[in-house]
Amino acid sequence: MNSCERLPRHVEALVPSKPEGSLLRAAVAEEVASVLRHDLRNKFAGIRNASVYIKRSLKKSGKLEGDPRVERFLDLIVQQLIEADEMLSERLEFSELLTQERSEQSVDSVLLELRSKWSAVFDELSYDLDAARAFVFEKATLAFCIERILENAEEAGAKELRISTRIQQEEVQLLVHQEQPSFVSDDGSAALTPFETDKSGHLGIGLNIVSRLMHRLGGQLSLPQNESDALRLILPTEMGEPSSTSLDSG
Amino acid sequence: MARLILIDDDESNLLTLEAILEDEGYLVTCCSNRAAVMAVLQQETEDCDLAIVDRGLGRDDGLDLVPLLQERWPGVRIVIFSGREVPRELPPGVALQLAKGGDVEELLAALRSLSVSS
Repeated sequence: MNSCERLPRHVEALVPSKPEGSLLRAAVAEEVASVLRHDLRNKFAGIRNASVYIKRSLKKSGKLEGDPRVERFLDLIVQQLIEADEMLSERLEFSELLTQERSEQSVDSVLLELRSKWSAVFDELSYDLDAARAFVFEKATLAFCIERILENAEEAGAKELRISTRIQQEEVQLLVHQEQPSFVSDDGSAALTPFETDKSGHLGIGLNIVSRLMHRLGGQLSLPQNESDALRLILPTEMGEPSSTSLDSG
Repeated sequence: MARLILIDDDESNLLTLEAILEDEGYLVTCCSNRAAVMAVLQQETEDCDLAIVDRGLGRDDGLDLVPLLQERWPGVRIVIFSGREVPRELPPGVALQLAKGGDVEELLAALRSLSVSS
């Protein structure tokens, strides 16, 4: 079954129509859902805590005995919110749609396959590749991440890019140097705030998606901290089971 | 009376959880962001027994605060609130990890247990 067909209609409406296919659609869906899960959980927690406090306070003052429905309704608020929270995980979770086939290849080979397409986009796209060792990983996921980063650079108006790779201990580092980084800020994290963008027609979640997918692979996206620094994709050469989308923070 | 620092960027959660924790008998210090935590770490003269840290602190990850809390208060027991899927392995320095959507009574019981074992 095509994974696109499994997305609910209200999620499909959020997904931009691009030819990349199911991984993009699933990644956008999961990113949007993740933000919604986080924000709703915070709201639910606040309401639940307030109900718990009111019940404790009424119990202490002896005012709970007058009408048994008061306690029952306060418990109902808490129970409904716990169930609503569980629904977020059960019905608003698309991370399983992100799983791609694993095969053995090198990071350099993935880059070389993308070369002809992206060389035509930039005035200069140079390579300094030193990660020819083959190992098992999700090729389509890594290629997708690389292309989103190149797309980001293109949209920022970058003219010259240099991509380098190296293997350090048990991880591959893929570095993207561009003359004018589009994502350096005082703390380097502004670009990873979802739905914050100054590009019209964009959702502002591209790098969030890359960060999420790299995390799934056991690796990470590291943004440049200053003008001379590079963006890094870090990928372990020993990939375990895909990490859950535990980028879902509290 | 145990001292507790509560770190969460959601104001309603901070307000309501502070009330519950004070009702339980804790002396609570609230921080809604990393800067507020840093100010407390510099200015607070008393030891802190417990910390409840939300992982999602706007642009920051609450886990990054764990070593700072431990450095300032070596005996502090740290509870992390995370998203629904709580990883099986505890991050270094964390005594307990709970899902944010869970039962408040479970949190209170866990805090009592950590207070006793510290």
